[in-house]
Amino acid sequence: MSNLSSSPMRLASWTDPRSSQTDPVMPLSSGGMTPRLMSGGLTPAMTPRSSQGAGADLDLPPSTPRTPRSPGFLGSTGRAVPRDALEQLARREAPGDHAGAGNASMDIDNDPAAAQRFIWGTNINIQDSIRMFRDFLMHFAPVDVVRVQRAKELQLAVEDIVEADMILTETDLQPYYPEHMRRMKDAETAVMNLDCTHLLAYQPATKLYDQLIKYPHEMISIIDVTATEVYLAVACTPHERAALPEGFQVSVRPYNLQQSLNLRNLNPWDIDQLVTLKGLVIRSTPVIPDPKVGLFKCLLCETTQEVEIDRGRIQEPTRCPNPNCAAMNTMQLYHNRCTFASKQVCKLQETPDMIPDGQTPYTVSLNVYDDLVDTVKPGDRVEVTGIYRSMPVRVNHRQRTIKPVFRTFIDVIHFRTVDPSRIGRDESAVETNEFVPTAAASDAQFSITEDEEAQIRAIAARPDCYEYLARSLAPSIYAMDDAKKGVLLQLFGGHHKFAGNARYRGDINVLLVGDPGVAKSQLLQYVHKISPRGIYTSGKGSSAVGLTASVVRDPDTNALVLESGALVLSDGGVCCIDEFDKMSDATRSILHEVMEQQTISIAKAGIITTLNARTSILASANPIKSKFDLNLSLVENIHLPPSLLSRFDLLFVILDVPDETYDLRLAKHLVGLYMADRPESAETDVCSAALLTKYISYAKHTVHPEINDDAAEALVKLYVEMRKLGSARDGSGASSKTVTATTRQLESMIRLSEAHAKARLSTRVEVQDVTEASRLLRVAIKQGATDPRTGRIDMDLLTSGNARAGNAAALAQLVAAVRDVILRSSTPRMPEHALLAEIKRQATVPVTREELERALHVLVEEGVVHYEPRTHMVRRLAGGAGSGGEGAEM
Amino acid sequence: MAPLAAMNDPLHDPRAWVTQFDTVAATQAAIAQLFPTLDDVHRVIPSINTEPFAKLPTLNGRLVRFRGMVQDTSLSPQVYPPVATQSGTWTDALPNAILSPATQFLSYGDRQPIYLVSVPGEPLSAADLAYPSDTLVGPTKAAAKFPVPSAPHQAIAAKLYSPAPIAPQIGQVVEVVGVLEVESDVPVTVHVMWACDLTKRTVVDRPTDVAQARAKLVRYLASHLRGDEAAGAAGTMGIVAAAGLRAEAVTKSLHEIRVAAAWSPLSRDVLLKDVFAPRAALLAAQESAPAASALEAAATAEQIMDEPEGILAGRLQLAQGSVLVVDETAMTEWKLNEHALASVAQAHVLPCEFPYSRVDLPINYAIHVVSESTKLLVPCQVRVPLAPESTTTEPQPAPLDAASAYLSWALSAPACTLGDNAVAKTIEQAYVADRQLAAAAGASSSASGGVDTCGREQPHWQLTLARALGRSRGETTVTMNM
Repeated sequence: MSNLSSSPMRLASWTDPRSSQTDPVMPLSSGGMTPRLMSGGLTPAMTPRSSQGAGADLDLPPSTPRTPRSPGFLGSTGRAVPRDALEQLARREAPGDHAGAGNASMDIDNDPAAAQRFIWGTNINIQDSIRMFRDFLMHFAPVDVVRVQRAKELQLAVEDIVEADMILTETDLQPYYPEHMRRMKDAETAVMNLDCTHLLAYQPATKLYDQLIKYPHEMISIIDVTATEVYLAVACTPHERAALPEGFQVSVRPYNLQQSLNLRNLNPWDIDQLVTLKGLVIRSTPVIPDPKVGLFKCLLCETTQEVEIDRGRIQEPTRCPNPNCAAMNTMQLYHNRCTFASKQVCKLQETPDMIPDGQTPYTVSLNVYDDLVDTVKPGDRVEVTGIYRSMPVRVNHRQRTIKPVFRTFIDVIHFRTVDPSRIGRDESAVETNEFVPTAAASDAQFSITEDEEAQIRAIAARPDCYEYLARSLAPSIYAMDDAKKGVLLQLFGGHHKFAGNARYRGDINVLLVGDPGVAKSQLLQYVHKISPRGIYTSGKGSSAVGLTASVVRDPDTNALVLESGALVLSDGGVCCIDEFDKMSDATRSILHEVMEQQTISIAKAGIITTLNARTSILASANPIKSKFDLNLSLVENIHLPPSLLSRFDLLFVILDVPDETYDLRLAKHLVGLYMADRPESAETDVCSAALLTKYISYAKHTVHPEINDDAAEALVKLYVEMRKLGSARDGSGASSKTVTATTRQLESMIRLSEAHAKARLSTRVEVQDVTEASRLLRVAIKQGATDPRTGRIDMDLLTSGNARAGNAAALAQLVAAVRDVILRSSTPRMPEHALLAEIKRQATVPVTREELERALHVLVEEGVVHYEPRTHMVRRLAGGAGSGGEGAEM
Repeated sequence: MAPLAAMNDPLHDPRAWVTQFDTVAATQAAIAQLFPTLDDVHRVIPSINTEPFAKLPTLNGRLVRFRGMVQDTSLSPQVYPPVATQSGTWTDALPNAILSPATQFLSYGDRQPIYLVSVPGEPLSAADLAYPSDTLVGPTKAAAKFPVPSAPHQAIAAKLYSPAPIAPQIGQVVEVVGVLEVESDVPVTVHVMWACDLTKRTVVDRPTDVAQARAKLVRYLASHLRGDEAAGAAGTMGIVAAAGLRAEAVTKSLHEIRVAAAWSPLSRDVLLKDVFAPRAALLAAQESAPAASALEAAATAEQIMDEPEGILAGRLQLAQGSVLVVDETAMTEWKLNEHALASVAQAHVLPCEFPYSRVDLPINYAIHVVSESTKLLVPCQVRVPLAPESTTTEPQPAPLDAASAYLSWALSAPACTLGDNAVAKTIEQAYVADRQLAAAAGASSSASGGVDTCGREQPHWQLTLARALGRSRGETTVTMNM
């Protein structure tokens, strides 16, 4: 037996039961196929069990003999393509002057043999199907769909609808597909997505829809060839046709079936039928070669024979096709002359909204081929149209016996990456020269109905539009107004800018810090649910590898391959990281690059590359002492590196401070959540999550605001004002220079202004946007960068972890206190922790270990003490400056 | 019930017996006719619940029963051939004649495997039940599907044939009857011919005198929890934070009244987030970072298509109607995933994390927290102080059956809702007052000026406790006299 690759589609060395010429009385069945789908190709009409093989009916070139037992082959998208025969049939009635002109005498009516070609085992006349589909392609117009919709609305028959009942444009009346094909030619694509609702709406072709669902293997081959002929006729000039590569063929990809199945509703009787499923891609393999055509050579006479794959199997020839040789079992496979397609296997999992209560999600395998490879990534929510297939699995590779349970999977024909419940991806993040798979891009278009657009416009027209949208974000979470506004602007995002090779991020990073139980996690969960490509992870459970990418060895090829982590997977979306403070240092360190450069550099096991991670980060952190200590700075409260903190555009501190009025309102809100019959306690003036999602998607898709002159001036002015805050004089009249804003704050202000303008659906960033951005930024800076000792904003707290203002004075005071304690100590040696405890006991403000160490360094330089960092022991030196006299070195 | 002689064939060689029926449905109906009641099933069909693993092969191919909790419903459906003669049914080991590649199949059937484990928390006496293959991702990952680690238990893959006799849900307690199939390297399989949902099947009548029946349960708990009547009353509520008790004692007292109680000491080794909620097996495989294990986890086409589906168990994945005893005294501070526990207690949902989504599994069991009031798993204001030293006189123990009957009824009663505005107002005011008091007390001592003991979680817990109390009294709504 020959084996082509490690692909699950293996060579079938056993007799294909569909080979009717070898078994004239075979039952209506085949290995792994349902009874009606035996053909895989064409057979003369009315003689489905005839001993006359289809292969004999086709004029096969003698130089490349094909196996007579497999008249068709399973194409790269899982289609049976007996192309030569179909092309002959399709040319007979081709429109225009392409092929039909010269073959007028071959009209179907005059060719009884052609008129009697049926799909094996059915009464579907192939010529009828070709004619119907060609008629559909040439004459379908959008008005047909409008007519069906109108008939449904008026509850009338479609025939009773007249044009007066419909609102039509000129394009609605024009044939759709000829123009579509011309656009395909301009776009240099051979993929034609076929909306199946068009088939249903076009009355003469309604039957085709049913045939396509039930016999996709055969019908897709038929419509492929028909579409190719029509394409050549209507979209190409004779000169262009001559320039097309040999074997050019349009691939028709049907989608948008009437009924979308749930994964758990797939039944055995759906096998070999066209189905549409919705789900979440959770895993995908690297691209693997998949055999399409196997080349066999006779060991005796060296005659070659090509065998096309048919439904996942390549039939190994048992006899040499050379009549002079005709030796048995001498055909050997030549791997390097076989033809392979690109293949990928993905796993599709049910989305939570499809899972019945108390159950866990199902998964199904997807086989993806050729141009569909890599069009979806793990984390994408997709609608898949494909053929549900089953395949017997061998007990092992060396045995012909099969397992009692069949393997089921979907041969994907079409992907749609539209997810109405989530916000659309930010297209401005995509660089101009970046490769975007066309198959996915063409279907991931943002779609919106007129009603929805009207609703969105109505919201944008509200004077309190911004507050209204912020209120609508996680309405079950009470208050946290500014934090919600910040998160809302994060969802809208700024505009990504490219200047030469430099890229300026538009993503806004937000950190929520606060007391336990203030609903930080719930806000993260909400954002995760509606954000594009949202990933929710916990800092505690994440590793650096899990966030970035890991290098794994592919057992098949033995090559090292990259497996993406959470940050890479959330490219173009929002990555929610809960318990950010509990992340290990190693994990945290990789976030520096991600949050500013938005890339991840990998240098592992010989793989050196840079991956895109254009993701907004929404993180939440708890204070290290559980409760936020107002006497400590933010850096001291959460122990995060200042270099990381400064990369957050907005940093909100959410405190749980008792306040009678506020507490009462909160209690009413919480109790209201438990009482369904108390609507007055719930927030009423909010829009639904679905509409909010639509609104944000619409804004991201259609609005790309630019900063006008006034806004630019306001930005400069407000930035300078923020800087000036640091050089104000304190109460004593002394000048103290602290940094209250850096260029990062200016960039943040620009991003927030753009996001605010998007929220208003304004194409211009105006002064009001800048004012709100500045206000939010000030609120965030005030909360995050206020020095508790001076009560003033000091950006050094975020950028370096130390407050500049008052540092010198505070340090001098601390040095004096430490010197005093050391000199008064009865013993010359003192552990650092004991010294810290004593200092803390005496001090009126909290003192940290780092501050003590800084003071000790001063004393070391002064020669008062010797400090051993390894053992953390402090030793008093004799004769040190300021020595009290009683101390002596021991 | 049919005479025993008529049961001989279905009991000892069910696969031969089913050949007289044309369809799966007919077989299921025939079995239901043979064993009309649950008592008949228990009387005649041998159980494999406590059968040691080594002895299971002796029952291979025979009709057996198994009572267990639905742990996983996400195993891939199976398409099998052929249906028409039922020769592909009730077995995973088809004869070679059928499995020959030359065989042409006329039709297919499908069956849905679900994973059943012994009800967690139910005491099992047999020590050699621990199932050796009870992992999804290999022994190195040690990712078990039984919620209580290292506890003896039995586990089976129950295959439900269309039409499925039950609609399985995670946490549901079911009894299945079917053909046992034991093969090496695969989970013990029962091809289910009959099944019932025990939580729905067991109808508990309302006691004629609810107050008196409850008093018996209170007396029982008071005597076992070494508290007074108030302590016993608190013990009926489900969520109790009791001081001065030992978790083992609580667990034992619940076992005696036939309540499945799983004791979960919250020591350091079980405090990782993922230990609590069920999670996807694939996620565990992806998390492996070192090169050696990454090699194992590398995803190739074949591996992805053949990899085992399903979820791993978490400590909080328990059966309906059972009690989780949480030992707060062993808790490491600030390491507990309090979100998951709060979701279980307050919203009755168990958040289950999957690679790109989260599923909230509805659960229905009570939580009993044993505490020394030093940690903040449950806010202090909603704790019930049960001090052993306060017990001066030992109350008269109540009869076990009466206590058990009342508890069964109370647990099967519908959830108590908050319908009274007066109760809502009281809770609101109590929360505000507590906050003010806590602020006043904390302002002098706490440097933060914040509130140490009365956070925003408190009203959630108070409401939860009020509803639990209402349920324990057999009420449908919370009233002011609770």
